[in-house]
Amino acid sequence: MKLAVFNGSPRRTNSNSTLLITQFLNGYYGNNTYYSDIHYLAETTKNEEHTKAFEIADNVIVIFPLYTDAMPGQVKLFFENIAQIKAVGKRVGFIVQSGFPEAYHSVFVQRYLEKLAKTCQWNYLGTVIRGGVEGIQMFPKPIQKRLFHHFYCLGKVFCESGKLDKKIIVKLAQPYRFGFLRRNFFKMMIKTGLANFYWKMKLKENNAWDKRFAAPYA
Amino acid sequence: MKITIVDGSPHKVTDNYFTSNLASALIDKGHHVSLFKAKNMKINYCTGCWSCWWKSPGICMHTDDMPQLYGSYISSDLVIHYSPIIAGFVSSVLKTVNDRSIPLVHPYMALVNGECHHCSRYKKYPLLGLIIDSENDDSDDLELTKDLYARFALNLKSELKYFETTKKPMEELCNEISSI
Repeated sequence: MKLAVFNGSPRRTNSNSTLLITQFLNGYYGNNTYYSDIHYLAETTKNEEHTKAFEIADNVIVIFPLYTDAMPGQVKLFFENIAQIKAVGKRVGFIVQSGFPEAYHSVFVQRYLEKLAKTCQWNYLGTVIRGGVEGIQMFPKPIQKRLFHHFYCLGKVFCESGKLDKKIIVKLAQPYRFGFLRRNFFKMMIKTGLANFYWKMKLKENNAWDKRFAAPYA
Repeated sequence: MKITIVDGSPHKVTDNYFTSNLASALIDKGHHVSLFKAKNMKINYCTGCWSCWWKSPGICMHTDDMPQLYGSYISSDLVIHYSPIIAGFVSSVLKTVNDRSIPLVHPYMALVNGECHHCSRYKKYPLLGLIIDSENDDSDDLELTKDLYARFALNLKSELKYFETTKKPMEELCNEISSI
């Protein structure tokens, strides 16, 4: 069964989507060499190649970051192209990752993906949602390791069963929304400045701190 | 009312007169209207570099036609997007414009209705409207598009105030838009 992976991150190889899909593929292939094609949808000059790769694959995984509450423009273009070809029964699954901590932000695009699969008569394998991914490379190692392990297991189970494991999907989609405790914890993080620590650090690193509240088009 | 119309048609807009007619009709009603036909503009894809958040706050690093749209957008009372439904959602042309709206908000996070959202960069943001070309009659696609746009508006510190299809006669569309 030929697996094709489409990475829709505009940051291509230097992206959080790449980090997560790498873990998925490590689980899928074990210690063996990858023989899946990984296609970077931000390379829009290769649109025809991407469509062809979709056409000949048996299993397809599309991973992308949530951009303005949906898919990035490059991914939308890919969907427009593959929706035009006949691929009845094609096994297609999706992974949506976002910087927002709650999975809820991605639920709307999940509904879209399910509907797209239905319209195109693909065999919809499900959508994995993971929030809180921005700044993943700065996460404490144990948290990063646990997250990567989930994606590793997701790939492993997918290789063995051809399914995106529902239990892992549920785990990854936590927190779905903030409950009382998390909401108050987050309020405290905002008050102490910790919630925006990453952005503040980056602004300072780039000597842009003084311009952080700039409104150039006002 | 100051209105910006963003035409997300996937074709060079010599083929499509809807937004031109809408702009004219709204001007006749006394509105100040700016029309941007995205396919006729140079608009690059967002590369996710976050320069607009942490290197040159509020300014995208791309050199293309977006700055004129940013200026019009932020000074408008209402922004109307127009697109056909393609593969179940607005065109990739319009989605690319939406992706490029990131410099208009601030990277800092805040709680809005118990959810995490970005903070405002500007004091005032326009209301948002979406008009869908009526060729696609799939009610599920329309509902999904409306929901996705309502979320987009929320994150852009706005509100999806108007959602219609081109099935509605132009006069009625204009009257409804004027009453917002």
